[in-house]
Amino acid sequence: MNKQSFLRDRGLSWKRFESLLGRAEAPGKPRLAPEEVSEFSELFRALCYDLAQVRSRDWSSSLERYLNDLVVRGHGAFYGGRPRPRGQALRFLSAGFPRRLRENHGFFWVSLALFAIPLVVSWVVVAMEPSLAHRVLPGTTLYNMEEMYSRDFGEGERQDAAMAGFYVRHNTSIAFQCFALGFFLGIGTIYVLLSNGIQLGTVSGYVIAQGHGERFLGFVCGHSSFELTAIVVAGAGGLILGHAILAPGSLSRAEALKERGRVAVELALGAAAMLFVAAMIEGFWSAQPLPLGVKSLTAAILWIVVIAYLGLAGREGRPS
Amino acid sequence: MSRPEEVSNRVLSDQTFLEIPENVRLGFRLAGPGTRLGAYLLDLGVRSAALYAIVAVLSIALLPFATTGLPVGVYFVVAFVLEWGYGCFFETWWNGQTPGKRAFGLRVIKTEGYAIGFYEAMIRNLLRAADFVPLFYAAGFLTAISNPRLQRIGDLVAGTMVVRERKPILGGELEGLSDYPPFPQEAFRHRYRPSEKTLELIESLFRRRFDLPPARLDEIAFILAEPLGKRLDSFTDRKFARDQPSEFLFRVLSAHRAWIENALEVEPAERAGSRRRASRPAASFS
Repeated sequence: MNKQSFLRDRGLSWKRFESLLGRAEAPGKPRLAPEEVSEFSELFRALCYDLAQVRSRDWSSSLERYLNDLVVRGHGAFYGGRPRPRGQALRFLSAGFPRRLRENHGFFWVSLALFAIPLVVSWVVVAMEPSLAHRVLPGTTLYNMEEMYSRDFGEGERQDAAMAGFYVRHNTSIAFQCFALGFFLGIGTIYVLLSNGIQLGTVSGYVIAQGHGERFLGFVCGHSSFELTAIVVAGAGGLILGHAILAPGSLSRAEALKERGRVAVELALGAAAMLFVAAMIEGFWSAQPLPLGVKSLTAAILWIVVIAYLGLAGREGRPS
Repeated sequence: MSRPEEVSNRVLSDQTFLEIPENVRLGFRLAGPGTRLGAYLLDLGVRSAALYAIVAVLSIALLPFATTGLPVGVYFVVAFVLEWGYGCFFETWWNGQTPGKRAFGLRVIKTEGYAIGFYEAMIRNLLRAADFVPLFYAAGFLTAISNPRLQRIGDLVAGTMVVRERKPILGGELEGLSDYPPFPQEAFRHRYRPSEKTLELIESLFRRRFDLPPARLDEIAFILAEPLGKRLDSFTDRKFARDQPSEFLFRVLSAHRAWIENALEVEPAERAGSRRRASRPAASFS
C-alpha cells in the first residue's frame, strides 16, 4: 500500500467522520442518531489507526496534521462532557453552595478569625482613642465618613438604584480579588481580610466616637449580615486555593489545585450571590429614614436568615 | 517521559502531547503570549464597545427613572457583569472561545483534550485577578512562560490550556502548483518514484518559493535536483534538471501531488477496484 491507495481507501471515511463530527460538535440537542453514534465510534477507532500508520510510515506531515487534528476533535466530542448549566444555578444556591461551605467549615472559621478579630480590635482601640484612626485611614476618608453620617438620610435627592448598582460592582470585585489572590499561598487573601477588617473597625469606632452612632449603626446593620459573611466566605475560598499549594497532600500540586480550585470557586460564586443580595439591601433599605428599632429588628432577622441558610440549607433528610 | 526528544520538545517546541485511550499520541499547538495578548486586546475592545452600546441604549430607555438613579445603577451592574463575566460567558457557550480568541484562531480546552464547561471558564476568568498582579498580567506571563503548557495561573487552577486551531485541510493546500505541468514519471528510469520524504522536502521548498531570491531558490533546489536528475533517461531532461532545478523539482512534485485533490472525489465502486491494483513498495531516494 502506498500513500495514494491509502488515501483512496480511507479518504471517504475521513470525510464521513468529519461530517458526523461537525454535527456532534454543534450546540443543540439531537445531534447524532443511535446508529450514527456507533458508526462514529467505529470510524474514530479506524481514524486513530490511520494516524498511527501515517506516523509509522512517515508519510506527509500535512496528512499527519490533518488526521491528528481530526482525532483531537473526535476525542473531545467523544469523551468530553458537554456543559449543561440549565437549572443548576437554582440547585447550587439552594443546596450546593451551603453544603460546600459546611464541608470546608475549617477554612470558614479561619477566614472569619482573620477578618473579625482585627475588626473588633481596631473598633475597640479607635473607640477609646479616636485620633488613632488617622494612623489607619487618610484624613479625607475619615472626614467624608463623618460628613456622610452627620446628616439624616433622605435629605436631598436619594439615588437608591445607583448606589445598589455601585455596591454590586465594588463589593463583589473585592470579594473576587480576595478569592483569587489566595493563589499566592493564601497571602493575598489574608492581606485583603486583615486590611478590610481593620478599616471597617476603624471607621466604625471613629464614626461612633464622633457621636453619629445611631445613624451609622442604623445604616450598616441591615446589610451587614449578607455582606460581611460573604467576604468571609470568599476569603475561605481563597484560603482553600492557598492551602492546595502549601499542603497538596498525596496529590501533585497541579492536581490538588485543580481539585480544590473547583470547590474554592463555588464558594466565590456563592459569595457573589450573597453580595448581590447585600447590595440590594444596602441600596434600597439601609438608607431609609426609619427608627433604629425597626432597622435593628430587620437586621436581626436577616442575620438569622443568613446563619440558617448557610448552616441548614441543603441538608440530607434525617433517616427515619 | 524521559526520552530525549520529548525533553527537548518540552523546551523548544510549541506543542504539547497527550496520549489517548486509542493508543495514539495527539499533538496540540499551544498559543503563545503574543497571540493571546492580541486576542485579549481585541476582547477588551469588544467589551468596552458593548458597555458603551448598552449604556447608550439604557440611558435613553430608562430616562423616566433618572431621578431614582436607575440608569447609573444599571450601568454599574452591566460594567461588573462584563468585567467578570464576559470571558466566562463566551468560553462556556462558544466552547472555549471568545470573539477575540475566535478571531485569532485560539481555543481553551482542558489539558485532557476535552471541551471546557462552565466551571473551568469561571475559574480561569476569576483568577485573572491573580494573573494581573502586580501590573498588567505580569504574574500570569511569568507563570505561563515557566510551564510547558503555557498556562497562566487561571489555567493551572482550572486545568485548561489555550491552543491554536488549524482548519483541517486535506489536499488542495498547495496553491499554485497547477501552474507547473506534471513531470512525466515515465521520464525516470524504471518509473522511479521519489519517496514521500523527498516530496515533503520539495513541498516545503515550494511553500517558501516567494520568500527566497530566485538565485538562492535554485541553489537550494540544485542539491536535490542533481541526484534526482541522474535517474532520468534522456539527456535533455537531465540538462533541464540541472539548469532549472527549482522548476524541475516543482514539476516533479506536481506529478505526484495532483492526485491528492482528486483522490477524495472518486466513487466508492472505483475505490474497490483501485484497492486491488498492485502497490509496489515505493523506491526510496538516495
